[in-house]
Amino acid sequence: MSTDDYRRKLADFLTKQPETSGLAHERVLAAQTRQDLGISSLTMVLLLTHYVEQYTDNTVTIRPEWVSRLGDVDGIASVLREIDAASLAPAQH
Amino acid sequence: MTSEHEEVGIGSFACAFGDVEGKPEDVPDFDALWQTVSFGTDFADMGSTTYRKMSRPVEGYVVDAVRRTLQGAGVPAAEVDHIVFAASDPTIALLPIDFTTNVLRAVGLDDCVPHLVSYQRCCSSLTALQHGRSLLAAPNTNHVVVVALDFIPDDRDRIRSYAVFGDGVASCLLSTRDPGLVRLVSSATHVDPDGLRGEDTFASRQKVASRTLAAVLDAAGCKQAQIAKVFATNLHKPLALFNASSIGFRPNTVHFLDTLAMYGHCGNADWLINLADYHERSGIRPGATYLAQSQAPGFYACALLEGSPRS
Repeated sequence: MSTDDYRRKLADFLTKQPETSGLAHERVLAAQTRQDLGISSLTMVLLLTHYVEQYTDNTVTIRPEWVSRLGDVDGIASVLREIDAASLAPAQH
Repeated sequence: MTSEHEEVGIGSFACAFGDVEGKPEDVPDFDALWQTVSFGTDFADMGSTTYRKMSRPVEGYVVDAVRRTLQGAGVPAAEVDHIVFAASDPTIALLPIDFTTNVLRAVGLDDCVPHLVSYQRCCSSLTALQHGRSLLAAPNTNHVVVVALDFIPDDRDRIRSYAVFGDGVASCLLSTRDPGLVRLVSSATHVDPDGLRGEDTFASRQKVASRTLAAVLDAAGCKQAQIAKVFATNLHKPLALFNASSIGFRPNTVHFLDTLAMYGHCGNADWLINLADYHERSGIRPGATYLAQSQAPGFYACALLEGSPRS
């Protein structure tokens, strides 16, 4: 999936979450920063928790290199892509 | 960095919580308060079930904890050389002018020098631990009590975007004569200037946490993977787990969930409470490495501890 595809996946995901259900799909696609969407730090953490639960069945944990990307929308979309990739990778032993 | 004080044992942890149990949802105006700070999140996800409130002056709880610390170690009050109080910034403004003398007299600390460590918010007690150990470098100084206290007079101030505050006191004894439960290997506190301005971000919080953790690991010549358990700050559950993950700790390494549910965030006493709780449930292992951790807007502190050999 391309970056634009993950923007759309992020928009689909946000509009289905109780914390961000009031956001319009188009607003997510147009936003540059998390602040543009009015998503607080606490809400962002909860949204990531929900995403990991829903898409990986909690098989993925947050990685340090993802944290600094959570301030802008493209960064958040890239984190979702890497969460998906991590859930498909063979388990590390 | 720490070899000069390696003989100092830290142990006899004791906690005294507020005597009145409350539920966050019963705080006056809870719904409005939570909506103001939570941005639409569900309080049920935060991990706080109850908190404790002090119904009497804080001195009584401090005296109770310190007495139990001394009894647990079998050390007479008259043999304590120093007591180091640690409190977050708002708490020191609430202490009565005769707080120290009341505690010293009630416990019988007749030849004991009092100290206060603060201005580092919820990180104050980790600096107090370091200060307490440094006091033991003086000749003929054998026992130091460190006691962390925090409380909130107005229940409405308990509900915050990052935690639910509870009232609690936790104390421990530093001794040159007893190996205690753990020894302090290294410690560090650093400042997040963005946090001091109220402009902290995921990146700024991660930066100060990583820098502080690296400092204690480097000083000890220790690898992060050697850390068996982290005694964390009782922030809202999702935040505490995220913060741990952001510096590379797996969620099951962090010990805080049960005390968070029962007592909430007892300010700068959390790491002591979590260490004591972990020891009661699972036991601190001799030779194992542990991390005590505190964080607050603008500050991050941690201390590497090693389980003491059993005598």
